[in-house]
Amino acid sequence: MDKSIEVMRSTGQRTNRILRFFSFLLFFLVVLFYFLWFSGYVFFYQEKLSLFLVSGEFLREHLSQPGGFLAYLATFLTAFYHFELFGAGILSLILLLVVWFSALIGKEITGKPVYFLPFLVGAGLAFLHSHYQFQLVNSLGILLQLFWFFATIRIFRKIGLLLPVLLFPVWYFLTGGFAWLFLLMFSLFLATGSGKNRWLHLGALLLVVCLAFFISSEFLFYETTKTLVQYPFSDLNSGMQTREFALLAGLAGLFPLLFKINIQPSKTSIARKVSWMQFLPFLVIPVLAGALSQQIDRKNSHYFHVEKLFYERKFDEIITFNKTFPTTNKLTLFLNNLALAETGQLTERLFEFPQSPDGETLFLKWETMGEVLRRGGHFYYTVGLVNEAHRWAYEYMVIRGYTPEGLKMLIKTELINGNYKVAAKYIEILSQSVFYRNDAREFLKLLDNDEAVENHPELGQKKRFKPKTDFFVLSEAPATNLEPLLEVDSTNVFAIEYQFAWLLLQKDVTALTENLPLLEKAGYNHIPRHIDEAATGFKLLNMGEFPQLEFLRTRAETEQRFRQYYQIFQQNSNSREQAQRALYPQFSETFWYYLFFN
Amino acid sequence: MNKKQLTYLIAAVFLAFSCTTKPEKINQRIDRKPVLQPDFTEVTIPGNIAPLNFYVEEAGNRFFVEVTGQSGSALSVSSKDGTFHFPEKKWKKLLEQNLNHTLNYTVYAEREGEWMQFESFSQTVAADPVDPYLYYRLLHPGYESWTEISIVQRNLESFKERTLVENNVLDQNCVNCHAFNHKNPEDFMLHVRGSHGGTYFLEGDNLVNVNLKTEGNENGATYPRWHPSGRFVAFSSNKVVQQFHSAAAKKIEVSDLNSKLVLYDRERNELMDIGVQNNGQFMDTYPEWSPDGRYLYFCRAEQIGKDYDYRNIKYDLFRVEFDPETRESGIAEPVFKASEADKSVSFPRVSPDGKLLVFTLHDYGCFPIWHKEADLYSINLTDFEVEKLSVNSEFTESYHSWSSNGRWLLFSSKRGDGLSARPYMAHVSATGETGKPFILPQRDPRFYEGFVKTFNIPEFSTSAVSFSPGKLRNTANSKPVQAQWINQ
Repeated sequence: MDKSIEVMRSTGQRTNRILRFFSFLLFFLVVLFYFLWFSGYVFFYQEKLSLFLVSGEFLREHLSQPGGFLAYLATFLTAFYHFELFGAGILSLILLLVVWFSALIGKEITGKPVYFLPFLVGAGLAFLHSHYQFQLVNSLGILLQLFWFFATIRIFRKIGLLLPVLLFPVWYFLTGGFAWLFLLMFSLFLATGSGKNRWLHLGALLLVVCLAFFISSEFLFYETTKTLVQYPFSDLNSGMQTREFALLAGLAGLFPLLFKINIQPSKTSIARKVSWMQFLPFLVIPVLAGALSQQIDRKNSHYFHVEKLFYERKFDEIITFNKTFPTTNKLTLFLNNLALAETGQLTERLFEFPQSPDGETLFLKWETMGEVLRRGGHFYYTVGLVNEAHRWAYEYMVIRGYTPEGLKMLIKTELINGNYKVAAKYIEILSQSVFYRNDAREFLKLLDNDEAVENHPELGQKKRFKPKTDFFVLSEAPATNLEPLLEVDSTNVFAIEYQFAWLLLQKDVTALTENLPLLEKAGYNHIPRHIDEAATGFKLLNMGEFPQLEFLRTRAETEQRFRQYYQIFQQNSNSREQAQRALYPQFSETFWYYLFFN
Repeated sequence: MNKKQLTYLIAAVFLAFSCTTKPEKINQRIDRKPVLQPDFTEVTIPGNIAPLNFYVEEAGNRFFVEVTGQSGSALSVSSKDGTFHFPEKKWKKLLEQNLNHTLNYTVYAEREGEWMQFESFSQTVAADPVDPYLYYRLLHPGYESWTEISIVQRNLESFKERTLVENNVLDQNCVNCHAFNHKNPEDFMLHVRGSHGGTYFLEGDNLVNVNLKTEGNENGATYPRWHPSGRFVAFSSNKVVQQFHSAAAKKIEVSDLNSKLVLYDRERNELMDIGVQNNGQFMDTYPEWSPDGRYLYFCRAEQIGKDYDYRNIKYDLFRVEFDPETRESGIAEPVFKASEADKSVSFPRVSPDGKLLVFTLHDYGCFPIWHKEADLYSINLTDFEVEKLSVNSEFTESYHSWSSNGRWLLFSSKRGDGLSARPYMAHVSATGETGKPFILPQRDPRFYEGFVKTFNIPEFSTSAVSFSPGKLRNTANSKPVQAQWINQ
């Protein structure tokens, strides 16, 4: 009889172990699958937000304030987001370790396996990570506190709890504001524990904490009190999910209390081989999967895919992608218009995509908010206003630190301007990165080599279109910079494309027609489609004097189509909506349609 | 041989191979000086300066330098890569033994087993010491934005650097215009701009925030200069605009839309216009006191209108007599009319003996740090003869500061990379001649090659100022003292 009980117990234990293993594995796979398949753009975005440098100076900079080391670690791991698979793997592993250490802590405190709370915290963090701005430092911070707490109660409990108390200042220096989580766990552990010195340890801990904070703020670190309390956590790097994160962190902090709440029946029947509690993770994980599925954000995914292609200068792919998957996102359309301009198609295909009449799909107005500042300079770079492109990249660097694309823009603009010594510094920084060393090597070939820069397909072209005379750039009114640019250099085709695109968006047909001779000066051999449409309308409606052109002409087919358009419009003129519906199938991608119905 | 002896033997062998002694046989003499970075050749240096570490841009597998003083003492260093770090104690002793004498440097390089000797170069050790401290602001040489700005104290007799102010503790407010009273370096102030804005004065152990924005001074206080008495501080009060060039040669233009001079009386906490007969017709800026406090020098340009061409804004150098007892000024008189030469003056700085005034001359405007053509000039305050200093380069030379003994001139130069300003210093003889300038030495001679921040407002000082982060934070969080505007 005893032997059979023993066999049953051992079989039950094996089953329990298998169930536990599968619960961890399932959690890992669900998180991995979601982030790899549906949210890969999160890794692209976050990797582009920072630049890990393999240098002593970079490490020293991070060791200048509490929490800097944690930020350093997080930046290091984020560097590997360069590959989505690595990113998904790292994130899934971190979250799995959060669950695992939480479970270990539970077992250490209660003597029994715990199931629900660890998976709840892990699932909560996974859910928060589905927001593209929620950064790895948050989960890494929690993981390190769980690890250190586990080490405290597992190892230090045997050799002396005074040691983690005395080491708290060091731990605070390394992990910053996340160390308060460890403080909470450890304090509760001591307060609810049974050791005879626990009150002494608790008192000593609180004293050490107060002293460490006082000395840090008063004598050591030039930081505000708020920063000393919370760095490296911030509202921004939690995707403004501060409250939710605080709740989760608080939950983890209360582990020493919560794990002691016994919800198992006090007597387990010998016949019950497998605890029902072990199935709780299998409830949490599907709920997580369901919640994550609701977070799938096609708009963000679309945008970041376009941005990725943009940085790779795959302009044709951008245009094809946006044509296949239409969007109304202004930033996406801004990049799409840049792609059209770079491929000489801006005024040919502008209205195949939605446009904003205020020009926000053409230019981004100056502001120091990160998302605009990071991207707006590309317009200036495209049209040859290299100094201004440099300024945007530089300001972003000052505010947010080095980023891969920002640094590349700094290098390119300095190379174009012939500032080789400054370019050399930036190239040296890029060469200290993990995944951009090849880019640095390529840039190195252009240093001190005017000819190589001039012959470079991208840099040489931008150099040729740099302004020939000086003027002050007006970044609050980007379009106003095109005229002075073109006054002295009418061959700048990019500036011309944008100038005409802006006139088209403003529906300024008169000014557009007056500027037709610019196209001849720039060497156009035909009038681009939308300009042709506008000029044709001007001509056929007798809106004014048509300029004398030497060789460019409006097309006969365009005139024919305009007559068709006008006829259909007239036939449906009693109802605007009716006219719009009638014209849409054939003319939705024309300037005329935009003119009348946008 | 036992283990211990073997260890010692291995260590000795290792040391023997890693330390290079002066080559015994010279296979080739090269008839030129080695290319040095930084360039410390033929400079006059103060006897209390930190080691002038350098590296040679020459090919070689091993290098050696011997520095011999005229007094007979010597110092030698070997190197594997051409970088020479002079031991601080030995360097100090060498300089002490060679005041008013020359140091002779001989550099050797070994290539493929053969030693080459370069032509020697020298440095002169002046008996005039330099002020032991240098203060500067470190920030990105950028446009409008900033995040981390720090004011740093560097000990010129060593490589020790400590942070005086880091703006992170002030919610990343802008910190600028740190200024000493050169007659009494205990007098110190700086501006803070932002949510904790104000002018912070160091008074003994206390830091006091004074709000100098008053009725009558809506633009607040900008460029400061301490009156030698320490009772007054002259400020310019400027309304400034920044504009960004599209063409490559220039990045930024900073122009004043209007400016005037104001005087802050610390004893009475009173702020007032300085009587320079402005009447709204002129833009006055960059005040500078004579060492006896009886003259105030400043830069003056015609007040611009609504439609102005920034290239036509030209500042002349003026001065006015000042009576510290009555706080009244005389009639402003021109000292140097740069506008007649189609130029503009900034940053007048009078030498401690009152004989010489050094200023920055450039094509237009009042913000020369962004002007490549900006150079340093001097004016003899006896005969008002103007001379271009020999310290200039083809890049920006600007903001300068005198040492307390008037024998060293510190200035900002962008000659390194054209973007970031670095502090250079040059010896000034009793007759006003300047020696070849040299860059602030760093422990790592390659430091400047990788450093992207700019050294801004370098100022000599004889005193070590310090206040803790806690003190700065407490001052920033407390209510500022409001200065009273007086209509004088």
